[in-house]
Amino acid sequence: MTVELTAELTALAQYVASGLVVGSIYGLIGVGFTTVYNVTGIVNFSQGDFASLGALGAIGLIAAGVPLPVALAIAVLCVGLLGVLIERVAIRPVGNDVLRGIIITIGVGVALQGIAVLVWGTDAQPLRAFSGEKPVNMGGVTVPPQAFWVVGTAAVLMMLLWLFFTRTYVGKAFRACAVNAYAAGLMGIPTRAMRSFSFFVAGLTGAIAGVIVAPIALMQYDSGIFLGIKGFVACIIGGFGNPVGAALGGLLLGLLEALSSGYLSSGYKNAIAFVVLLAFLFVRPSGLLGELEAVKR
Amino acid sequence: MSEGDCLYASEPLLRVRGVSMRFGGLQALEDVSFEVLRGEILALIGPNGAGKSTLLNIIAGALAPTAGETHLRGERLNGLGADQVNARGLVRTFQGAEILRNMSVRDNVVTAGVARCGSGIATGLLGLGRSRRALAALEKEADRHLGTVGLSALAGASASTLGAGQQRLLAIARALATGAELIVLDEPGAGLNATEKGYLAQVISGLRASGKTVLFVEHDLGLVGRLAERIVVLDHGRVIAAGRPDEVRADPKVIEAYLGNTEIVARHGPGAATRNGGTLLGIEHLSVRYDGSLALDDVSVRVAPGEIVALVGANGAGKSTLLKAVAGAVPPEAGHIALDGRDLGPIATADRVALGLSLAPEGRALFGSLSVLDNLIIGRYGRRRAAGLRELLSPSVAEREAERETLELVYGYFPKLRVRSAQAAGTLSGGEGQMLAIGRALMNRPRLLMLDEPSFGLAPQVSREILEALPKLAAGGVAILLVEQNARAALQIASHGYVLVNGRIAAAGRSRDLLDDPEIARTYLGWDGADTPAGASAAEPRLRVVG
Amino acid sequence: MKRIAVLVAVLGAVYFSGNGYLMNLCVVTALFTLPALGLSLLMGYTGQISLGHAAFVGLGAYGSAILCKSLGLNPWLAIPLATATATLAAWAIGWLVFRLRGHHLAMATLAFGIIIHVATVELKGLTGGQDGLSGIPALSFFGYAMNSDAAIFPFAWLVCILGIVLAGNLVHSPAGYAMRAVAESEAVAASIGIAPDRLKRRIMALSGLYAGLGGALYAHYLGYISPGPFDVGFSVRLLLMVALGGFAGIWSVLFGVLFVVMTSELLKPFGNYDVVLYGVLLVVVMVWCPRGLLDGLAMLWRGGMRMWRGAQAAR
Repeated sequence: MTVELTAELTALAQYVASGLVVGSIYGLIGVGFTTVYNVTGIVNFSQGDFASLGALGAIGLIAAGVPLPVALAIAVLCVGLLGVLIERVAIRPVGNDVLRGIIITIGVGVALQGIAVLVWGTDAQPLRAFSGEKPVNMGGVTVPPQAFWVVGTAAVLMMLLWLFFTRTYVGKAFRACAVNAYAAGLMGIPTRAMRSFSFFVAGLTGAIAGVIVAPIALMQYDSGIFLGIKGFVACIIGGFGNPVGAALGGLLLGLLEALSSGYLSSGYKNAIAFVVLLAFLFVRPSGLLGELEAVKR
Repeated sequence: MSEGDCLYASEPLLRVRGVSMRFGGLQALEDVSFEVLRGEILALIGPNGAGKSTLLNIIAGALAPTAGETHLRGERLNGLGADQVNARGLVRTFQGAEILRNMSVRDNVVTAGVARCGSGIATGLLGLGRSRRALAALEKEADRHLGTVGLSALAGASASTLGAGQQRLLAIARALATGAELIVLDEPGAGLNATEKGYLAQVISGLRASGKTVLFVEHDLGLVGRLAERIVVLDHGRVIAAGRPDEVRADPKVIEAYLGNTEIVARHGPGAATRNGGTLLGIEHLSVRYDGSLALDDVSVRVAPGEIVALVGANGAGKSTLLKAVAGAVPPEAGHIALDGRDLGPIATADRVALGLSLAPEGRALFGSLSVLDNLIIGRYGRRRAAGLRELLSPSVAEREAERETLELVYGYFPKLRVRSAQAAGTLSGGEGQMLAIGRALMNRPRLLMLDEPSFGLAPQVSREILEALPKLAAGGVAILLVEQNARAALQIASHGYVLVNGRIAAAGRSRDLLDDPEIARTYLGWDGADTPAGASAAEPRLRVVG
Repeated sequence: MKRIAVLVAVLGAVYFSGNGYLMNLCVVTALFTLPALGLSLLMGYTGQISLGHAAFVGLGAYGSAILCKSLGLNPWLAIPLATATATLAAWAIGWLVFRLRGHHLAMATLAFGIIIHVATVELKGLTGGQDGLSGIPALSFFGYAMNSDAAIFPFAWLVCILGIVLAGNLVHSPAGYAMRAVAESEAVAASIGIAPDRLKRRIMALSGLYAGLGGALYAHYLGYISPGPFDVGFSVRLLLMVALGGFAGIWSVLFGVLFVVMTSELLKPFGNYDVVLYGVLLVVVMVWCPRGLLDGLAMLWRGGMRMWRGAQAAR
């Protein structure tokens, strides 16, 4: 009896562990969505592609002989700057037209995927784990060391972002912009620069999510689509516009996916995200924690 | 427009009974009841925030009331969707005209007849005679309606090229095309100039002559006075007066509702002396076009250093537009704005802040999710940035000192803020929120502080408290340009005042003189339609410089 | 009418030239134009958004294939039934999602699209999973089986032209005005007696009909279908076809479809450049020429002519 119970618990713990890992990634992507949405009112459908590009870029740099930490840093930074470029070229000219904004970000995502195909082909690319492959055994639950990198980095990054937005002057000015751009402008806050900055942060967080998960989940040119969708679902669960909600929503989604994959069938793993998405859209579109504020335009 | 003109037996076409509307904690309408008689023109008026738009939305089916009923020809309307209400014979226009810009003028009117023409998607697909014939009939009808409102010449033009006045006329033509008997107009005169309003009045009278019934909401009381046979007055969600125009005009409750009845205890000192202290803000012959119509027309205002100037006027007079123009948020079409002699024209908003200008916008516009303290220190962004980019990242000792000093100053004026400094701004009460908005605007140590309707939405005692604090601010060296609907209270604390009516200055002078002037109510409310042409001679707005 | 005559003339030229390559392109164009037309009616004229339209094409294709193979129905019966299924599905999804707006609506349609796609992959017993269904009978007309490009060419274009004509009729009918009103402002539409929700659902159903019909014909033309072509990528390509045509313009949709089909062909030998091109084009068109690529190029041309004439005058 006790042996079965332990086996049951171990299996559960295993699912929970993998759920937390995946959930951290979804949370990070969700934070990227939220940052851009709060300031610009636009949902950036190419957010997931920031992750895949970051990973692929790092892989490419490593293949060219660049040491791992440097490659990661360069890839992440470049994707951040790419985000700024996208905002300047594709987003800013359109203003607040929601329909056009959606299609444009879809187009950007497709273009990014296309570039990925041209540079790296359609095959999945491996990135070696940061600190080795030997799985760690924690009371019967086996966890790859990369998992610690994922959860750890995600936690640290979210903490840094939280500190930035709540403790620094510029961070508070950024939030002011997100809440009411008109009033922020009246205080002399440069709203346009803030928009660019939001895309920079989104690119950064997306790319970091990509590079830390790449050793566990092979990345290819279209990995971004599903990552983006899951990140979006994380935001919907937690309440669009609420960064804490996005993080929590991501963890929740990750757990649901891992549990359903373990206890039901892995084929329907992706379907879970959509069922949850639709459930929330129809029953509680403002999410568990509620939207932060009606985004004032 | 005497009673005798109405030939019909006065049977009610629209009945509004006990309508109440509650939005969360806010009671927008309370037990509103009135009737619109068949064949009459009824005006619904009231100061800003009275609930007129909410009431209109309920009548039109766009909103379901919390309580109460509306009936059209005895048939219950509340609970039906807007399209069903229209099918029963009621049509409404929108505050912003809301014409369909992606179509031509004629097509706008054609679309209004589609719902009744009997040709749907199936017949449309087949494209046989029926849909073609229906369309031809609709087009003929459309041309007829365009003729009624005088837009025939523009029938083929794209609707996006129309000016404000033409847009309103198109909205009326569109309303006619639905075949509805009751036409509900939402601020049909907004943004129109004198000539356009005259034409509009003719068109509306013509509607009545052709058997329609008209209910309209309007701020321009001159227009109301010329058209309405009966008037219903709303204030704070309640009907405070109803009856014939002459009765309503004389009703003291109505005057009080518009001008305010707050008595300020602490009065500001004599105004005359400070006027010679030079000009801090000089606005000369300013004209501003907003959304296609002339919001401000040849407006000149002067604010001397350290004085409080009140700019009063009813809703839609253009007060907010003036402040926005000074802040740099809307570009002027003509005229100059100068701060301390320096032309602000080419200077962007952020830089005007650095020059010593601060605006506390209408509706407070607080950063709700930030704390009170954070709202205040963010208010200082302009100064910090002007001191150098590094100040934003790591403020110098001098900047920190200055910030602390200013905070203490603000807490001195509004002690309640100190108590609540860690609270999220969104949880503050209305009065505290307004204090925060003013405090935030003070953080940049402005020389000129502009306040946009600080008493809006506040209870009388609370707004008194806020307004009474203003002379203390002025004593500290900040000039204040105060825009208010609560005219009486504003004029009591100000040294000088300007009365804005329909975008023009209708009266100016020392505030004490304005207050003592028995004519001030009439000028302020604009019943005489000082800016609308009376017959052949277009009467110029009588600018009365008082005192 | 004139345009149809020109189109028929061009098609006739291609048909009688016997050029297999061109005929294939034309057949594919015809079959893609149907779902693109449906999407244009929904997005361009009624102002809604659907990121999962490939699902309706897939429903039509799989529906017809399954009805033929499992129930042994004649394709002439299976195709209308499958189309009806797709129409009904579109109506039901519309009923569910149109209470949403903006990006919520976009995501919901994307979600439904992916769910249906995943179902075609996972319900192996019914759909054959990743391997798909083969051996789908071709349409035959009095014993003449239309299972080659040349054979199905006239029929495919007959249906396509019929679709274009009907859509054109709709757009120029009173209902077309109602659609445009709903696109610009539902509040205004309601105030003049048009019920926005009902209209949106019906147009969604209609666009599902077009998409399902295109899919069903595609299945019987190819004889074999798999889940691959009915994925998110196809939905995006449909979006591009409609966007290039300027969203609202029945004949410009044809241009958009042709453009995408041709560039796809022309770029094949170079590898995977078509994906990048589509993404970039989508962005470029939406930012600079929201009324379509042709319109944008025309504007460029006019602008260029103005500059040239100005330079001439200066001399």
